Amino acid sequence: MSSIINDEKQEFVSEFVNSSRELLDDVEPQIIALEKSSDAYGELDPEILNTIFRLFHTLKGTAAFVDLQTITSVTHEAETLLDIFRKEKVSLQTEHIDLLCRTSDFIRNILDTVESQLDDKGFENIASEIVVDLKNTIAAVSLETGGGQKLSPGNFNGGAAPATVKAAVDKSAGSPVEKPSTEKPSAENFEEENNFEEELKLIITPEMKARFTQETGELCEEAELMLLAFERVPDNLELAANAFRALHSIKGNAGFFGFIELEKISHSTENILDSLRNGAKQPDKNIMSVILTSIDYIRNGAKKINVNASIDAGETATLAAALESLNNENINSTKKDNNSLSDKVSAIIGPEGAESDDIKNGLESENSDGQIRPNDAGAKDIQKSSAASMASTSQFIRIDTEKLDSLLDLVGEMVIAESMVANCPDLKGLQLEKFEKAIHHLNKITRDIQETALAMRMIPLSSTFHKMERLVRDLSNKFNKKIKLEIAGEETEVDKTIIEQISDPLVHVIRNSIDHGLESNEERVKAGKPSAGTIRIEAKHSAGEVWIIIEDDGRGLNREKIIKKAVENSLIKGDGSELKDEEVWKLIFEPGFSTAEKVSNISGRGVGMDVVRRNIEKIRGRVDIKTQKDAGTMIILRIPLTLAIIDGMEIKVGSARYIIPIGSIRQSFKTMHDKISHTPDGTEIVNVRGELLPVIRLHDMYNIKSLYTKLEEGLLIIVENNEKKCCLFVDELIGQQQIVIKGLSNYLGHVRGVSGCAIMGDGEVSLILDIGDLISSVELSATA
Amino acid sequence: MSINEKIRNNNTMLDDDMDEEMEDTQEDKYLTFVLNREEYGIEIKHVIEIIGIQNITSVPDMPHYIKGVINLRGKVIPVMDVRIRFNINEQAYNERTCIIVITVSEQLVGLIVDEVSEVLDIPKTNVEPSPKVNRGEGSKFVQGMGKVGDAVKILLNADKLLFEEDLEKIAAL
Repeated sequence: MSSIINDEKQEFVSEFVNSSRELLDDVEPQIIALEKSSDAYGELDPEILNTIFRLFHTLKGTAAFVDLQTITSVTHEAETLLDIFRKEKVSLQTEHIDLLCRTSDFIRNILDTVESQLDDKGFENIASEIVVDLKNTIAAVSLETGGGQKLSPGNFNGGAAPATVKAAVDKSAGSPVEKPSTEKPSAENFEEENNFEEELKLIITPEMKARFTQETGELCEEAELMLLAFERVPDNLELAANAFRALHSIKGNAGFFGFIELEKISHSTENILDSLRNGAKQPDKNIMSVILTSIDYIRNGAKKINVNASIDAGETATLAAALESLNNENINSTKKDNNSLSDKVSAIIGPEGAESDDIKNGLESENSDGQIRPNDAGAKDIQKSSAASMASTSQFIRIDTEKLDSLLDLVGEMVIAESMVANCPDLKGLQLEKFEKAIHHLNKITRDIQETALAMRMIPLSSTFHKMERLVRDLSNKFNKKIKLEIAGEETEVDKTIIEQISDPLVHVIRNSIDHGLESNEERVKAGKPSAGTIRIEAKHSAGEVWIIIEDDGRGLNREKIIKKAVENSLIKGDGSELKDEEVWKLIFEPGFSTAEKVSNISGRGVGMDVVRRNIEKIRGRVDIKTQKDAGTMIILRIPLTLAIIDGMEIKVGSARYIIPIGSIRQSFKTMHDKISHTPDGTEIVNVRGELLPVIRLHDMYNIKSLYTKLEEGLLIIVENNEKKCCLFVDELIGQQQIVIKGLSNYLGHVRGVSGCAIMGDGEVSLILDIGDLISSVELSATA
Repeated sequence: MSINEKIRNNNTMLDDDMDEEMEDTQEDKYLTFVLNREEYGIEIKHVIEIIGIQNITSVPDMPHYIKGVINLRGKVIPVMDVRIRFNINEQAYNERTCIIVITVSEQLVGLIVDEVSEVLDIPKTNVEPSPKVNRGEGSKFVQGMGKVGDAVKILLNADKLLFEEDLEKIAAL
């Protein structure tokens, strides 16, 4: 277990280091811009100031999360300093800029060590040096503002500065219960904080909100993962501590943005987590459920904030009450918490008491030098630091998906353009040896670029899989079934669009497995199985496809039951006894099909599996079922690696050209007259080695004048979709090639039997045939 | 093609400037084109560019006036023969036939017209409401009649042109 923790820690830390480097890279230019703006206009640009503040704040939050005290402490002080600048019209000194640069340089230095050592040992001295310097500056500056305050009471930002000073005085007066406002808003300063947030609200940009939502989402996910692991291994308090830290960061962010509801809930949740990580409380189901609910609440709340929707007040109240009752449940343990908390508080406040002494000292030797002197040394420092930022290489960058998509579009264009050059009609019949060589080379490079571009959109399935842990846990409680979830192959990468599409099907399949597949614990014991059921999710690559396998060791599908239900719902004709097993299993995907006697709030309405099939078909995948009575069911989602490119066979009907995805072609052949029979309704049936297949005449279907009208003159192509086969009648095959799929314009709506289009080598557009749709449209007309 | 340049200028302004200015420069400007010897105008704000006629891939199950799709530098866009849309008899395409690429509600659509004339300023004061005589297919797409000197241009409502259902189709249901 400890090695796993180490691995996880490694992962967190390297993520932290990467994101911190990014943040530092952002911070430095901003610091310089700040100095420039102050040089130029004599006052600080609030926009830049806020950006720097935010960046440091984020650094602080993430550093706290991976337990890097040195970074947390420096950034905290830097934040305090910036906060003063933000609230007060304080003139910026070169020393301030130097100090900020020093802070960011220090953090950057630490990061390198942290990356290799996983901790920040050995930097405490430098850190405390910086902290002391920062504190001195803060003292000097707040002094200056205190003075300025008296002189100009009309200052519209008035409220906050006395508060800082007051808080500092309170602390020095030895009332250690009062916590610094960034740590925990106590009742007393809550109102002030609100005012301060009112001011802040004005400057929260949509981008900031989006970032908040994203970060909160990520943190929620982490917290959730940790909690679920913690529930399994309640002895490992480190896990609870990790969750605690994640929530703490959320709280900090929410507080910073002034999202009071979120702050409140995360605060209460944090309290509970605190008692969990101290071992004061045991993680029973009740507590865990409440915590998980509040994490959901926070996640949704953050999403709502992003779209400017308001958070349901009733929900907030209920949740707050639940959390409160949990917090009060065990008075003894909470008391203990309070004690330990206040210990911590006094520990934090201790040094700050000293700081307020500094303030007093500073008050006497007032320094109101407001001039800003350009300082060469400072500029040099900055140059140095930006050079350093160039040197340290980061492994990841964040890219807007829109940019990726447009790159992919362009690459698609390039592939087309390349083949337009290669197949240029002007070159026909010419002997161009060198040209051929060059074009071959170009072709290879284009393919490589295409592959790389596609790979950039690939992301691992792990986060999708880990979301299922939560689902399984919730359902296991709901149904009172003990369930073990196994996950394998989570590192398998698939296209981003696919990830978005498979989450829902996965949920439905797992729900079904738990509700219908797995027996109750007693039944399992009776059947000689281990009492806890197992759900296994696995992802793997298999011949150009990704397979996502969901397997349970439950009772398996029941052929008789399914057939009975299908007959009742008249989904099949006759008694179904002649159906192959596979065909029977396929019935569970029919909309409205459910064998459940009772509709529960989890499943039984017969919607889920229909969703599974639809979503998977949307991404050109298919669903296979393997099942064995009393041994379990295995559902395989087979999904193509990418949605953007397929191998297609170009065919010709008259002057029109179409593309058939290679995957659905079985065979093409010329037929003889005696192999064809006509049914009374006009359908033509071809006998292919004993198999009778209906013929779809593409030219009839699409009203085109074709070269051939007799079946034996043209070409028949056997196509297959979902194990249904038919023959397409076409004039001729042109050839196979890779094509980039494009959607047909929305303006045209859905076109019968067409799934999209592609631009061919000669720049013309060809339609891609949707074989599944073609076959079902033929079936429809047959039943009608 | 000078008209294309004008359009491009308009569109770059569209990118650069804020809304008001954009309204200013786009207001009252129309791209005029010929259809069966009649002059029509369409608001310049809808127009992306003008291209010559090119190979059209026909798409099944479409109304007659949708001729199919074309490849506009990698984008696949549908094209509509405005003649057929207006129930004017079809005519073979020639070297003057143009496709006006317009965008309405984020849809790119090409309009096949006999020929493109020019970009004109027609102030609102010179636009009269279309006469309320409901005759023929085309009249329901008319937004107003623009007077330019002695000539009259029929100003089209691009939105209706693209999205108005066929009356026949509705009647058939």
